Amino acid sequence: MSVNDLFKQELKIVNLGLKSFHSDLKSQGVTTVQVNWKPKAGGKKNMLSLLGKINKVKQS
Amino acid sequence: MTLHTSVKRNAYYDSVTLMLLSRELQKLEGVEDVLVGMATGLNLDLAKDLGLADNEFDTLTPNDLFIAAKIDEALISMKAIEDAFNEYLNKRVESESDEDYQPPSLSSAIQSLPGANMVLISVPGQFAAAEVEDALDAGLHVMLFSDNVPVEDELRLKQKAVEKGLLMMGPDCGTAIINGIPLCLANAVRLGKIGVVGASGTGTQEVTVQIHKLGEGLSQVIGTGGRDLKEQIGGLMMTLGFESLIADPETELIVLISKPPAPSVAEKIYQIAKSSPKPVVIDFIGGDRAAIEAAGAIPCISLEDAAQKAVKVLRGQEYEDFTGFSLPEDHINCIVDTSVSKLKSDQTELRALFTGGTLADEAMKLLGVHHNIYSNIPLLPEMAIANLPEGRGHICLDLGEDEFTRGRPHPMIDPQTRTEFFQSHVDEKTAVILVDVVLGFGSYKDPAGAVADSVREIRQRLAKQGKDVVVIASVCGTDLDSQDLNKSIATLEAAGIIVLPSNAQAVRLTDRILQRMKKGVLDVC
Amino acid sequence: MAIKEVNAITAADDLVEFLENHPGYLARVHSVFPHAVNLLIGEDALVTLTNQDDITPMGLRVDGSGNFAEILKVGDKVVLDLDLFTSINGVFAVNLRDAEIWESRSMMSLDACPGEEVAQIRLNLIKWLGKQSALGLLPLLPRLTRQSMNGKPMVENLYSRHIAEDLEAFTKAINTSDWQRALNLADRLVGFGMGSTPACDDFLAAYLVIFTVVDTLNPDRYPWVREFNQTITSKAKKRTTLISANMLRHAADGKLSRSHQRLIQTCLYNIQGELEYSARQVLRHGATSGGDFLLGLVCAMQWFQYNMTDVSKEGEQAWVELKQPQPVPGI
Repeated sequence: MSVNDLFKQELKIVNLGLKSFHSDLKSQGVTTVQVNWKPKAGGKKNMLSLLGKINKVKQS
Repeated sequence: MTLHTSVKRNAYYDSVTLMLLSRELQKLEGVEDVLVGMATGLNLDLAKDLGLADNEFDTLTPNDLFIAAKIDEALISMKAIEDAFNEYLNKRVESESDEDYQPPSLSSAIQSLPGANMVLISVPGQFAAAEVEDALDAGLHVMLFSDNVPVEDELRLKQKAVEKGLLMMGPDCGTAIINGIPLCLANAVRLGKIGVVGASGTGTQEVTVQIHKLGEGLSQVIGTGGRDLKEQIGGLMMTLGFESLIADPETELIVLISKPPAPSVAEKIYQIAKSSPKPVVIDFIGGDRAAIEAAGAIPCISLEDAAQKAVKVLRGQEYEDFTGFSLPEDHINCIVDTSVSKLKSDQTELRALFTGGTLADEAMKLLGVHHNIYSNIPLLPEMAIANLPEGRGHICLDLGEDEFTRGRPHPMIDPQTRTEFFQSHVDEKTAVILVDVVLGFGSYKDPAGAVADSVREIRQRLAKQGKDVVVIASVCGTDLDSQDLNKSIATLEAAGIIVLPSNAQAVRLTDRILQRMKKGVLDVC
Repeated sequence: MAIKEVNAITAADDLVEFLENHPGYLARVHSVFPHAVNLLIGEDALVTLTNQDDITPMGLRVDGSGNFAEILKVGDKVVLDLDLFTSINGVFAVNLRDAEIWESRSMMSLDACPGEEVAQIRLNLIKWLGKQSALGLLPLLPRLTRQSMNGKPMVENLYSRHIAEDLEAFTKAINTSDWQRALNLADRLVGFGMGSTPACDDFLAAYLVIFTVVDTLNPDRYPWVREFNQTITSKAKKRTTLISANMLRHAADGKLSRSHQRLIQTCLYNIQGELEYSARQVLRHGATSGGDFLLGLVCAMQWFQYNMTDVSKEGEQAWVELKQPQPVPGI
């Protein structure tokens, strides 16, 4: 989507971070979603890596 | 009174729901006593103790829900109680789902908002780049408010954005207005024909506010973040924004705002300006005037000047550098004389306390010609605040810089930092206090009130020594801002603050007063 | 009806372990709340799916805002795999591939704050609790903590009035290390109160967790802890709801939902800051009634602060033990 296409569209905004930006937009009737954002746990294991490991074990 | 019970097998509700529910049931006319609970042994014992158990209870298990009530059948039936029970539960579920859903991640937010096209990011800097990357990968434009994003990340992300034809405004991008919607810290201005690309947040705000005050409006206001025009980034967003405005049919004139760019970047911008079919007004605050003119663009001497020239060119009117005041010259002289006459001979120093970075920068550029100003954003390294002599001197601070905002909100959002600087940095040697008052979305709800309070407190303090102080302000805001320009001006003036219509004029008046003090007081008008 | 597929955001480590060991497990929907579903594993274990900002032991936090009651009903069969949950009727699926794994006992490896600090946090928590609406057992807050609530009337209800004396006796028995009496009194508490986790169970869960925490911090110093906790959980099996018995079993194992865990971290380790925020999250989230848990917590914290003061100083430990005899309860 080019910048000039954006100029022709209705803004629909996802807000990550300061909630006041979200409420300011909402009060103007702008379509907006606030993300309940939390920092990703650095280096924490996740299912994907676990699944990868399990598949390897299965193959060997 | 008769006893009635009702049982729901394998029904589960949380305790809060059941507690509130039994309160509601207790209020019903004709209900003398009611007990709701899971049919655990102890709960059934309680029911028995209260005379609220019947034979059916012997067949219940802890996983069944019971309602037992003593009722006056002339007034209410057990069926009515059950209906009330169900109705209450349904109502509760509805009101819960009415609450705004907050998806837990960017990707789920994009899924939950079909047609999403813009992501605002203001999470802590070290996490921001990863989120920007996800947003760009999903094909969304980005406004990145966060600072402390490494320049390598900025370059990589902007390259990706340009490749995809997406905006990546920021990092540290405070203001933008896209399709008439103010984003992050922006003022409420009318729609119009002037497009702006700005690398400096409050500078862009000041220009849009002045354009609005002059009766024109804005088509698009694109922010780039402060580092965009440095060599490393190469003006990627300024270029994209500039070209998009050239292609935008709603935009008839383009204003570019930045601190002086790296020469190679400036050259790129000038090349685009040369081929622009639309007039281009450039304020590279203190930038190379001749080069701008050579590119066929219109150079400016201040943010206000940029707005004035833009409006005049748009209207086909003649223009020249605006170096003066909106008020007549003799009126200004009168203000200068009256102000100087209030001061004692040992009051010589300026304290400029800015919340807006570009406004502070503009003040430094305009004042630095005539005065030695010590600052955290000095024009020359030897004028750094750490080098303030023991005999002291003029100080101008950008209170929005990292060193003052660590662990607390930006002073435009929370006035506390400046309030503290009023207390610590203004004393019996202060002659003039210069401040900015920035209104708009995201800004504090009453910044003028906060300044007025501080000024009253200082005047009380100085009055004990038989002294007064001159306070000069400008308000960056419009009649459409929720804080209201006129109300803010009235608040400031009620506290004896001289309010000028732009930052440049406020700085100029400060300059006149400081110069007059050097010469000594003449007669008062 | 189209298939509703949601993504899992977070998966509890104990659930992941279970899934690794039981591929293709067939579970049944045990209970459905608007924002949570319990799946029955075997005879009495539960897996809890929630789309709120929380996660329980053996739980899964999933994306989306829908009402589970509109998708699933009690008895529906769900096949559990490590990467995917699918309902057999084909209307619902959970994709686990991108989930983060959450440690359900993460707070067990830390050193607690000094007793005086815990005491201060506890007073702040009591003050805050005094301002919340007095539902469930909360009307007993002044009585159990001996703190006045600034004249704010605490309106009692049928349940709280009925249990006041027993609860007070229970906290006294604990504070005087009379474990046998405490266990006898627990007979009058387990399963008492409203909700799918009856109020007194929430109250007890706070104690069980605190006991497990101190046992982990000072192995062998509190030999009664395991037996005490086990006795309560085996009582719970027969006397309370399945959901509540599960919660108590986890609590006895030192495991709690994430919001409860954060609150304990704030209270005992003074980390995660923002006591009020953590406490409010507990009040808000989960199918358990947070207020009753909070009441149990401020009572259990009193025992904790008595027992943990200065224990880290070597040499004084023996003295503390001498002063606080720890009889092992008979079962």
